[in-house]
Amino acid sequence: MIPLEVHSHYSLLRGTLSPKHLCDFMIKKGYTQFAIADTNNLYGMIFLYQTALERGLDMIIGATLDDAQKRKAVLLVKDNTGYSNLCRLISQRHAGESFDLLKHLTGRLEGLVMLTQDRDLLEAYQSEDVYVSLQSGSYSLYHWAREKDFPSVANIPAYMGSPKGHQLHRIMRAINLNTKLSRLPEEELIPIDNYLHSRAETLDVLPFAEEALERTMEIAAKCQWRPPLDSFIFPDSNDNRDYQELKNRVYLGAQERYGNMTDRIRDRIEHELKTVKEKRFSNYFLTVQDIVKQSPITCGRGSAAASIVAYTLKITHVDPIRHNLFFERFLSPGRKDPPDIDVDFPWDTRDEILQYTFDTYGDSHSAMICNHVTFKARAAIREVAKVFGLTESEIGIVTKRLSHLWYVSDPFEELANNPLLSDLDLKDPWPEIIRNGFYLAGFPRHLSVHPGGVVLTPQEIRNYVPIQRAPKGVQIIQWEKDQAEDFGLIKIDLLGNRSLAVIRDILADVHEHYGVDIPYWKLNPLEDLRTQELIRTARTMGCFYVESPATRQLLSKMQTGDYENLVIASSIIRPAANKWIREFVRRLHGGDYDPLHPLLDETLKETYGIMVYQEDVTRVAMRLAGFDADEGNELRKVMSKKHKEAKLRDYCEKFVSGARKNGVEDSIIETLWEMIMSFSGYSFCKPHSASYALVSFKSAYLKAHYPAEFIASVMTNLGGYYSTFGYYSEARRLGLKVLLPSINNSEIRHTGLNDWVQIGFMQLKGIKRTALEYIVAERESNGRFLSFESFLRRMPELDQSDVRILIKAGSFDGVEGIEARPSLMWQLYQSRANQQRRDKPVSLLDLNERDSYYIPDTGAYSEKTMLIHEADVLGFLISRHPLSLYAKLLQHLTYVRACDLRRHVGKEIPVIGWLITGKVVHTKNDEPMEFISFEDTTAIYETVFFPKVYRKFCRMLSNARPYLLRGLVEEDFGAISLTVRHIEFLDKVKVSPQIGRPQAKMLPKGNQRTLPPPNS
Amino acid sequence: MKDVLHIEVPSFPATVEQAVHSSYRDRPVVVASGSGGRAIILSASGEARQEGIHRGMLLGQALKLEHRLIVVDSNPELYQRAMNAITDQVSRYSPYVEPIRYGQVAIDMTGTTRLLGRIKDSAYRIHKDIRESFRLTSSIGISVNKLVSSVAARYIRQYAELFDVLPGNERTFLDPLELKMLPGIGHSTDQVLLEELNLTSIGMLAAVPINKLILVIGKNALTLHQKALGIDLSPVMPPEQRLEIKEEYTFSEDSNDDNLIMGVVYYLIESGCTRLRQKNMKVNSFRIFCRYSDSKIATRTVRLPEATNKEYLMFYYTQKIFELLFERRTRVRYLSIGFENLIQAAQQISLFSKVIDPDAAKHGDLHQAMDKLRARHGYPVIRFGLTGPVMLGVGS
Repeated sequence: MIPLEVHSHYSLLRGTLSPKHLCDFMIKKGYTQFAIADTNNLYGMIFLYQTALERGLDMIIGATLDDAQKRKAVLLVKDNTGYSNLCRLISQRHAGESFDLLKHLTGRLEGLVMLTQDRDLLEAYQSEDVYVSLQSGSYSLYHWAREKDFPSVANIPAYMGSPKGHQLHRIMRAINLNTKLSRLPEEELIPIDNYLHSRAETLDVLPFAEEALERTMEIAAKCQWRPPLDSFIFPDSNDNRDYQELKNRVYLGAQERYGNMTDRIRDRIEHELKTVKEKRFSNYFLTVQDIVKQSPITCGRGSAAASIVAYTLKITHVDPIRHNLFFERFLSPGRKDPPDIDVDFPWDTRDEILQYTFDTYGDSHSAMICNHVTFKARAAIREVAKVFGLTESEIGIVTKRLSHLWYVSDPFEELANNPLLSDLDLKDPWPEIIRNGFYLAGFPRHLSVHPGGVVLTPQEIRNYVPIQRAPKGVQIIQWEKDQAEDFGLIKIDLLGNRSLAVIRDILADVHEHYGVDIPYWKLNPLEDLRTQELIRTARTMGCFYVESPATRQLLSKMQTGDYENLVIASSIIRPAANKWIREFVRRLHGGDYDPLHPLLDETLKETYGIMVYQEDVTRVAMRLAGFDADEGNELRKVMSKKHKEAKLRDYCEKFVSGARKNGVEDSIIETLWEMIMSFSGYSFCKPHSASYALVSFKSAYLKAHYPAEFIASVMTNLGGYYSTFGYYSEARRLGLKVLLPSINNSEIRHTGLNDWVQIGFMQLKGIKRTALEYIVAERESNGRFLSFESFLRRMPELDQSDVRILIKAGSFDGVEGIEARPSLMWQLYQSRANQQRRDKPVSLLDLNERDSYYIPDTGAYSEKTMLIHEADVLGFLISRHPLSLYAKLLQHLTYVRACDLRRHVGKEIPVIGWLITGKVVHTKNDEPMEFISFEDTTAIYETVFFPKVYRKFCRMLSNARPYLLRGLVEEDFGAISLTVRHIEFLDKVKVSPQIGRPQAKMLPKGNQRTLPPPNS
Repeated sequence: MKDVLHIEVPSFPATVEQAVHSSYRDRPVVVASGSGGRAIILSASGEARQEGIHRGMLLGQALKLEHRLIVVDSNPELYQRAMNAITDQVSRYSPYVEPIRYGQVAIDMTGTTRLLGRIKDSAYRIHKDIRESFRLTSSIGISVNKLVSSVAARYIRQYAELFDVLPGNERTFLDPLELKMLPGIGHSTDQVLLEELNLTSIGMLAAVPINKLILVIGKNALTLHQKALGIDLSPVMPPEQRLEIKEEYTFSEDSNDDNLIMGVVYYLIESGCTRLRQKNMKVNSFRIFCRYSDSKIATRTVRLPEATNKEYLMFYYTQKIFELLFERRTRVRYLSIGFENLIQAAQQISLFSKVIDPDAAKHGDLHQAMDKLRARHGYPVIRFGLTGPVMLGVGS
């Protein structure tokens, strides 16, 4: 017997079996073959199939379909036609409420076997491939079938491995329906006997129908279709014509890119074109180019940047010849994996590009890839606990403590016995919550849209994969990127990138302000000295990809400003490679090193003997451990995937034995494998890093030459590493004047020119966007506002609340003066009151005062009120640095200015700080520590809170209060950082002049300074 | 001319907690609506206020300011008990005592000088009583009305225990004070507005002609203007005594099991109805009150089509709104039902009964029989299956 309706956890929040557990139960119950039939989807088809294969099981493809009439049918795939039909039916099922099995199965059953209990369906679609599905209690159905001469088959749906799974099922239903166990409606539950029955158990349930058990074999024999896992699916090349077209465009582009053609260029082009032609990818390149052409500013990245074809087509922007990028990393005749082109677009135009793609290639032939959103362990526990009615705080106490225990085998045992958790009182219902929560971790919950993956297909897309609409309306396929790729669907990644929008806006401003015209694709400032100097000195805040504190620290250690080293830097900064970063810097500064192995000398020469790029994994494995190109590639790819433990173990063995064969010492093998492991999580290939480093260079160039436009644009496009406040401080450090919003000078966005940055209206909190557009439009058509009164007159529809915000932000200081703010309020309230009353009959109250404003003499706002208003409506202080509020206190305090830290290396000193950003990391022993960037009014500086200090002070840290820090100034290859020993709130420091003075004398002259007075 | 005292114990819930738990004394304490970061601070002790923590702040924010903060879950029953005790205490001085809110009591002492001596002396005695009986520090304002007294009590609390605003000096006292000293202004939208208009002192507000104030503030202007002038005509009003029945139940282990909750509700209604029948009373409606594990509360009124004291009818209408009342998944900690507005149960059967109920007589007999049995042998002697899982003796 063969189970024909098996549900995995892809029957969302119903099925309780993950692919792994599902296979476990199959083996336990003695099956070698089964049919998967998740409800209304093929979400996990490829995963399930692959897992089954690995476990020596054979899996028939199918799905269960239901409809609003509560009919239900299991459809199993016999052949290609059947698969297409199934995909179409599932897509239709997701298309709307009107899906009706009785109607929609018409003409779609070819190539499918149907099992159902529904008598209408059986009668309507009677054929040799339609069976009566028998379950427990189907006695009358069985007789009806015999009367009608329908073949019947034993088919007990399996949602669980055993009846024990039913409690988990109920919990999942309660999560799904947002209710509690005692309130679950019966009709929402799968019956408890829908678990995987063995043959004997099935016979117990259906003693009268033994032949129905045997018939399962007959059906399995009919269903021979299995997912093909080695094909490419992409709109086909009409070979010769497309190839000719591609060749023409490539040579045209090369002319533009290179000017005169050398033999080297020509050879490279011909070499690449040959491979492209062989692999029939001409049309793929033409398609991508067509999409990329829609935006003047893009960044093609990923391995495609290694191709001169992509470079000449302006899909990518790094010259692969000049920068030594190997085409084989992208495409090679022997490789089986699909090519991968990722293109970034300015974030605010990406949706237009997607729309263009769908419009051009048609909804029927294009869709986006989805993400399977799964339960994370902590969230799973939280959800289960909520079903049990626990409160947020009760849940938080437990989940907060569980962070490092996620991968233990019996979570509850572990929790109960772990001494660290002994003070947690885990009484009922916690054991049940934790067990179920852990089990639920990794279960799919719903689909979301992949950030940019698009697939295009030659035939209608629903012939290959079921599609559905994401909540925001985009059409998505039912697979995420791994399954799509394994099935052979080629994806193009179209992603949004904020920095490209920053560059676009600056280029436009530069053109407008200074008449300088720089076409994006020609901006190639690799030799620009000011840019190189900026990178060398790590003043890269705001520059794409190299602005984080960690990268800036690395840059200041490297002290090189050239492109090649920046490519290395942006690749070596990845979570697992910390250990190698220091070694890299040492070697960069001329430190000796032995190549890890003579065989690798050549392979890793460019990166000082350290593995930096993804492809180094492949190359080392090939060179040293005898991997062939395919295996090497596979190893590289496995590193970046989830659930890789089992596969990695195999590769590790192979690597060790292969390397030993080459006579490599065990200790070196170990080091190499450790290096390879540092590529897990995310890591980049060289072409990718080269593409990104070029964008970094472009933004650094713009920062070096047009700082005002640069900062304004970075703040406008948001999404940088730092908060707006952080960039605003950077503006001050760049010597720029930052101006409060002004009714006549502000745009909606922030604007910069020469040496000032004008805060835009977008910074105002709580004001309506439409109001801002209205103001700007009115100003553009009818000229500047000459007074507050004329503003009110010209903007009668503006809400009072919006005008209040404008006044508080000081927008009218330019026309009315700063002292006038309160009187503007009086005017505003009265004018609006009059306006409301205009149409009503005149009341006694306002008979005489209709048009004269009453403005009492309240004077100007106090300084304090103005600062409160400013922080309120702008989100932070702009007219002065918040630290300047403490100037009086600082006069009595001894401390070192941040810009002078370098002079105190090796000493423990006090310094003032306002928190800018921080990053918590965990040490080897899993203790948390934090790298934090602080600033005072002179400079931004980096600090380290080691675990002991961090534990003591972490709860004091916030970006709302100033600190007095005390710590040791350290220098590492020229990069300064402060190892913090102690912090306290600056506003709580007890100042006693008697102690402060003498200390001051001990510091070298010029170091002991107070802050400049406010507004200086 | 009246003599009105306003007695204030600042940050009452937090201060009461400090008085009850000696280990909290002299340390920053807040009472919050839970313990998560999004919980709201309901009251902050003086020590906590010095760290910049105030009522209405998010707990997460407050912990950032002072990480040694002691956070206490709100315990309304305790504060109510403390309030009642204080009210009782001061009732010895005058029958006109009005509890205003937690920690604030107004008392009208007009005409007591003959009996008790000078008003100011009585006030000192009250202050001393409260300190000695409850270990609570109060401040007391004296003036001709509730408004000015309350401002005086608030004003004086950081300098001394007592402030007497002599009749006729109300405006002299109020004018220079900051606007937020007026009750009902702090942290309100009116405060924001007045601040924007740069009216910083009470005197500045009082000086604005009322017709102008209406233009900028709207309908609140009149009240504000009166307040600024120190005018308050409302008398001190003792709460009236009302006849009511309340039944309550605290779960030994919090539960979100509908069957159990339903059982407890039935049990409470049953107990309430028994008492109603003893008093020969009926009600037209009653309230169900529920407090969840996280201290959030839900309450609903069950309206009955006609007055009754029969549990089966009440339960029938309760079931209809059951899921509305217990709509959260969170476990329930405490349940109570309250019968107010009791009316005499007439012997006469209504001619036009709104409920057509052939079983009424049968049920009535059953309830009577059960009442009798229980009167003799105690409640558990006979029970409905529905109340089976209810742990008796734990609740009520």
